[in-house]
Parts: sequence; C-alpha cells; structure tokens
Amino acid sequence: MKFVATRLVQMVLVVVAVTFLAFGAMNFLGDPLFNILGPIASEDAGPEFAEIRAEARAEYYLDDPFVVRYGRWLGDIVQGDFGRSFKNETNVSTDLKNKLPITIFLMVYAQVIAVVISIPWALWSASKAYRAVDKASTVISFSMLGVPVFALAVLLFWIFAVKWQVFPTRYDDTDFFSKLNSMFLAALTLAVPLIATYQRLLRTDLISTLQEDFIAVARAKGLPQWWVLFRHALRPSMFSMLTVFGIQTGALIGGSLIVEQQFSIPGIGAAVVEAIIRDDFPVVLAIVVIVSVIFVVVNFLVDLLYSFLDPRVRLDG
Amino acid sequence: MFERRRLRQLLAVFFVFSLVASACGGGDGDSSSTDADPAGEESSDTDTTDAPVEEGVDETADGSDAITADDETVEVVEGGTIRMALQTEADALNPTNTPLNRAPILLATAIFDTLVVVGEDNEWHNNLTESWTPNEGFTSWEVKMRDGVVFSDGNVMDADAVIRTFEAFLADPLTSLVFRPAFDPEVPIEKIDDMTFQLNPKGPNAYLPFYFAEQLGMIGSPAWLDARDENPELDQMPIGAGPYMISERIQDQKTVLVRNPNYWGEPGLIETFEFFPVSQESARTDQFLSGDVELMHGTDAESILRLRDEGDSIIRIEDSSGEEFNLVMNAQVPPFDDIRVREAATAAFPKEQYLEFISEGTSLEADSLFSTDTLWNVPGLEQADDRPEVAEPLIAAYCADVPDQCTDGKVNIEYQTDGPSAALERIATVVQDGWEPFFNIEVQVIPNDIHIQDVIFGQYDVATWRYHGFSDPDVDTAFLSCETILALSINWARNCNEERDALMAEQRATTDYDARYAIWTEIQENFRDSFQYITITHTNWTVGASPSVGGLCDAVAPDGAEIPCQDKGVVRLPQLFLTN
Repeated sequence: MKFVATRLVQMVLVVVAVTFLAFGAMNFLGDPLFNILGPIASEDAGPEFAEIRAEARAEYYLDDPFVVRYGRWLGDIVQGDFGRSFKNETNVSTDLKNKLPITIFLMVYAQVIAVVISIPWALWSASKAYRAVDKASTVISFSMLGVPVFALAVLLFWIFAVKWQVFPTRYDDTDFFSKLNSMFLAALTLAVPLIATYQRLLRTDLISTLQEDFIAVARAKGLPQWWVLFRHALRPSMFSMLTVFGIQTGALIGGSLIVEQQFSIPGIGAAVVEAIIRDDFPVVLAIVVIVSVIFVVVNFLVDLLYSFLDPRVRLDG
Repeated sequence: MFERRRLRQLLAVFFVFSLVASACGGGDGDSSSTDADPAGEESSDTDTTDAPVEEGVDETADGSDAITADDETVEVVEGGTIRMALQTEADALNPTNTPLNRAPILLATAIFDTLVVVGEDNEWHNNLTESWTPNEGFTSWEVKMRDGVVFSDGNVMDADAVIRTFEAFLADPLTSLVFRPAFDPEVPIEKIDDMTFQLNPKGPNAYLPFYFAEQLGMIGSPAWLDARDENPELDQMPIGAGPYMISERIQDQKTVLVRNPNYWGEPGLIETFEFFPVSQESARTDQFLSGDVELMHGTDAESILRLRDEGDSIIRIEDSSGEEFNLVMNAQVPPFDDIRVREAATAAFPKEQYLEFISEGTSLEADSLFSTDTLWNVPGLEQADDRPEVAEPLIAAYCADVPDQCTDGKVNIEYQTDGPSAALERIATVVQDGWEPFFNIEVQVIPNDIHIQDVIFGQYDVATWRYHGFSDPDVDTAFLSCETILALSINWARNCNEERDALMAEQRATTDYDARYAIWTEIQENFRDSFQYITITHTNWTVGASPSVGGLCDAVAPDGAEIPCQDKGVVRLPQLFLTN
C-alpha cells in the first residue's frame, strides 16, 4: 500500500509539473492575448477592438498573476471543465469525449494486436534460438522496425483498402464489428513496430530464462516444450517487454496522430494538429493533461504488474 | 456576449469569404451548368455523358417512381441513406455568425433552405418567399413570405423570424463586414405586416434578391437563435425550415441529416444523409472510389483526373464557372504599391507552365473575374501574363527609383502560401521559375489560418488566394470596393479605385443587360489594368456520385425553374434518391 500511495503522489506531481510547464509555455511563449484574439490584440489594430480586448482580458483573467491563473485553470480541470475552444466556443470536454475514446480504442487495439502476435512469435523464436528460422525471424523483425509508420500507413491503406478493398477506407462506428474492421489497418500500422520491439525483447529474455535451473527441472520432469515455455518461462521473461509496453504508450499517441490522418479516423490526432496551428490553448492543454494522465497511469499499472509477474519483486520494499 | 469566437473565425476562416459572398447575392446557379460548354471537358459542364440521363419520372403500377434513363428504367428506392465525403468541416453551422464555405453551405442549404434560389436561367426565383416587389428606383424591396412555412421546431416563419435572423447577421462583427455595406445603415429592414417586410439597400439595387440565395437567405428559428445566445454550442445544431434537419453532429467526424417532418415542400426522397469531413483530397477520392461513400466533391487536379479515368462507371459533374485561383498583390505597401511592380509580376507570371504542370487540364485558364461560359465574360479581354520581356524595363525603372526595395537589380518580395501542401508548393516552384529573373523571392509556407489572417490584415506582399466568380457580378463588388478597405479588409488587394466604385454602383441600378454588360466590361478592364490580382484559373468543382444515386440534376424551384445540378460543389439534397 505504501508503494501505491507513493506512486499515486508521484503521478499527481508529474501531472501537475507537466500541466504547469504546458500552461506556462502557452502563456509565456508570446502574448496570451494575441493567442486568444490574433492581430486585433494589438493596440495598433485600432480602438474599435478595445472593448473586445478588455473583455478577453477579463474573461481569461489576464491581468491576474500567472500562478493565480494556473491555479484557477487547474481547479477547473480537476472538476472536468477544460474550458471552451477558441475556435467555436464548443465545450472542450464534450469535444474530447467524442474523440478521445476513438484514439484510446485505436491504441488499445494496436497493443492487443502487438501482444497477440509478438508473444507467440517470441516464444517460437526463442525455442529455435540461433537456428536458421530464428535468424530469419530476426531479419523480419528488424525490417518491421525499420519501416516508418507513415510509409507503412500509406502502403497498407493503398493495398488493402484502395486496391483490394478488403477493408473500408473510412472510419465506421455503426457497430463494434464495423469499428474493429474499419480501424484494423490503422491499428496494424501502429502495431507493426511494437510487434517487432516486443518480439525482440521477449525473445532475448526468454533465451536467458530458458537457461535457468528451474527450466531444466521442468524439462527433466518431462513436461512438454509448449508447457515449459508458456507456464514457466514466459512470465519471468516479460519484465523488459512490460517496461517498454508502458513507455511505448507515449510513442503510440504520437504515432496515432499520423495514422489517424491517413485512415481518416476522427480521433484526437487531427484535433491536436489543428489546435496547435490555431493556438487553441484550451484544447491543447486539455490534450496535454489527458495524455500525461494516460501515460503515468499506464506506467503505474506496469509497475504493479511487476510484482504479479514475479512475487519476489516486493513493491513495498 | 464576448465576440471572441467570431473574431477567431475571422482570422481562421476568412478565406471562405469568397464563398460567404455567394450569400451576398450569389446564388447557386448563375454560373451553373446552363452555361456549360458541352464540348469541353474542362468547361463548366454537367457531364451527362458520364451519368445516367434522367429524363422523367413516371408512376409505375406498384406506386413506386421509375426514372427513365436512356432506354433503361431505374426503380427509385424510397428512403435509404446516402453518405457523402465533404471537403471541409465547419466550425459551426450558424449562418448568422459563421462564414460558411462550400461544404457547410451544402449542409446549411438542406437545413435552412433559402429565401430565393437561382435557376439555370441565371435568374432568382422565390423559394421561402412569395414575392419581391421593388419600388420604382430599386431603393426598397417589399418582400412577402410564403404561407405555411414552419421551422423544424414547429415555429412559424414570418416577417419577425426573418428580421430576427437579419439583425443577427448585421450584429455580427464578422458576417456584417460583407453584408452591411449593401444595406441602408439606419433602417436596413422593417416590418410591414406579419408576413411582409421591407428591405432597404444602401442605394438603388436591382439585384437585391440575389443576396438572399445563399447564406444571407438562410433563416433560423427565432427560438433557436435566442437559445444560441445563451449557449454557443447550439451553433452546431441549427434549426431551420429546410427539407432536412440535423439528427446527429460530431464535429470533425460526421453530421447526420434526416427528413424534416414539418417541411413545407415536397419531402426529401432520401431518409438520411451522412456527411463526413475528409480534408485530404486523395482520401476523399479513395473513399468514393472504394464505395465507402456515394457522393463526394473536390477541386484537386489529381482527384478530378482519377474521377475522369472512371469514365461511365460513375457520375461526374464538373463546374468551372466560379471561384478564381489568384495571386493577390498588396497594393497598400511596397513594393506592390507601385503599379509597375504589379504589372511586372503579372507579365512575368508563367501561366502556360502553370496550366501544364499544375492544372493538368482540369481547370480553365482565367483572365478575369468571369469564366468564358458566363454572361459577363468579355471575349478577348486578356491578362498580360507570360510576357517576361514586358517585366524587364518595369523592374529596372522601379529599382532605379526605389533602390531600397531591390537587391542586385531585382525586387525583394515575400511570396506567401498556405501549407504544408505539396500542390501549393509545386505552384510556388512554378511561380519562382517565372519570377526569378526579376524578383528575389522569399517563399513563406504558413498554416492556412495565419495565411488568411495576414491577408485580411494586409500583412503580406503577394499571396495565393481563391475567390470571386459569384453568380451575380454585383456580389463581387464588396471585395473590390474602396469602402471595405479597413483595418480588417475584405478588399484583399487593398486597392481603391473610385472610378471602379462608381461603375459598380451604376451597374447595380440598371436592369438593362446590355448596359450592365458594357459597364462590367469597363470594370473588368479597370480590374485588369490595376494589376491587383494575377488571375490564374477558374476552380473546377467536381462532384462524383455513385451510379446508384439519382436525381442529381432534378432540383427545381417552386415555380418549376430548373436548378443547376451543382454549384461550386454544392448539391441540393431533397431530390436525390437511390436506385436499386
């Protein structure tokens, strides 16, 4: 419990630090009033905009000290109020409520594909370590790592959606199956480098684990190879993979921005790009908060899983 | 309420004022397929050779409608869903405070309808109105509303409703920039009785009804407008009196329209329309050609060529009659404040190269505001481009007079375009090729929002731009007038010419086509000789439809006048149907 409490406090501190930096950047990189109003923020734009400037300063408390403004903003987001978009005054929370689940679904989908493929592949590869098939699989996995996501997205989209029309060319959320089907290529695009990464790490750890005495004992008992691999070797070999799994969450968010564009998936990817271009800070800050929360939560869960994978790892210690 | 959003929109979406301006007098069809050159693939045409020809509707024995298409009989499927990929998403769908570009205009037309519509005959026709009666000097128009029109929320559309919407337009700092100059500043509108109101233009205006054929003619439910004042999110869920109403809208994802049960006219044939914003031209075309949507529109050369390659397997309707692609030069600041530099830039512009490598035969060459197949085109009126020999002495003289603006005998300029966009960067390369001997060019590729903002505020030298080409030429006048050169200017080039202003006022007051044509000839010559724009092409708006979609060219006004199949990418929805 002590570990959990400590980590929770750390998570909160990380999120606060990230939001503080993001809020600061939004406020100090340029004139915040300009970011809200554009060129009419300048006195040079003319006296006819003076009232609008004054209203904006009041609405966004721009005359208050930075820390006060940050505190007010943080208080609002804790209550789920991310403010209104500069673009069209829509509620940012409502907008994200529509888009964020799509991106999270895509990320989870990609991770599921990656795990489902990489684990059996790594087990098989480790069991054939240093043989020709293992070497071939190494070449394949490095090739998968070497293909940029944007190129892979274009390739998969063109072949399977446009040319062969096996998958739809647009996002379809009519039902769960339609959603799975329409997002498969996007998820696979994101999953490909993950598959290779997980496979490489897990294979290496498995090869090491398979040298352990308890594996020799299991084999001496006459247990079948698949049982030895799954039941005895896999769990203690997953530390590296699990660590990377957590870290890759951040990379997945970045990758999803590109993939969503290619596959016309209406997640937060396009929203992030547009918000940054438009200096739509309520949206940018909301996404920063959400992404940082997702990141720390996933990594927290990974930490918890360590003790599950190996009871010798005592979190409270 | 704090008007920040409108100002953000101003900075962000001003580019679409060309399209907003359609509401200023525009109309769907002045420049429509009526004027098409059926022989020219690049012209504004309804490509009926690629489409099932719809010649009549008959009642069949079982009560279903049958469309005769050549020798085939196609059975109409009642109801159903049509999906369409749109070029852009709207920030909001409230016409009173949001400049709507073509994709949102398509949605808004179905949701609101318009007071008048423009037919294939280039004339306006009553739609939500019953009559428009001008006084003798066209200084006021009495407008009577159609009886029995109600909004989808059940409220009655009457004079008060129109006045409520109209005042919302004029109160908005953004939309009023375009519309306010056309009306009397003191009493622009007044109620006569419950169903009649009077419009007072600023001066004699024989073409005022055209102003109400698009955005300005979209009337919102007063209850909705009142509620929206309290909750700006209702801008996403407008309530009008059109044939369809919004049932679902998730911005950037989809907008779903269903039939309006209170619609005053013939109900739409299709039960549901689903619209998806797909800003990437190639992705939109992929979705259409893969059968994931039944309708699309676009302007990109590559996509148009792909649609052409499909031949008879799809329906394709092209319209190059509106929207000119230009380079706009800022006449208010050096170096383009000097007409010699503007003339030199025009002369050195490599239009032939542009047409060959950029347009690839998909769009018409432009020399003026009006396409060759419109009523206002002046044959033989040519822009003096592709003549680098003319540029040389002009630049030499300018650099001798204003050496501060030159380096090594070339004028220093910033060429601004939005992006990143491969197409726009290709255009920049072509322009550089032509201008390089005379100009030191710094190319700025900046986000679209900033690009628009800079042009509005006059913070540019020369920029890529797209507008003009409206259904009635009077609509263009707001963008050429001295009056609209302000801190935020919709006279993009910031070029004031009082002689041209006088001509524009004169053409507005006459109903004689020949006299008006003569005036517009002078205006176009003035426009050309002031070298404020380098007009390049008439944008080709192409609509692609699956063969299962019927009725594209069946839209008619209440008086039976035919309405163009599409107008700059805007397709009317109620007459569309699916075949089996």
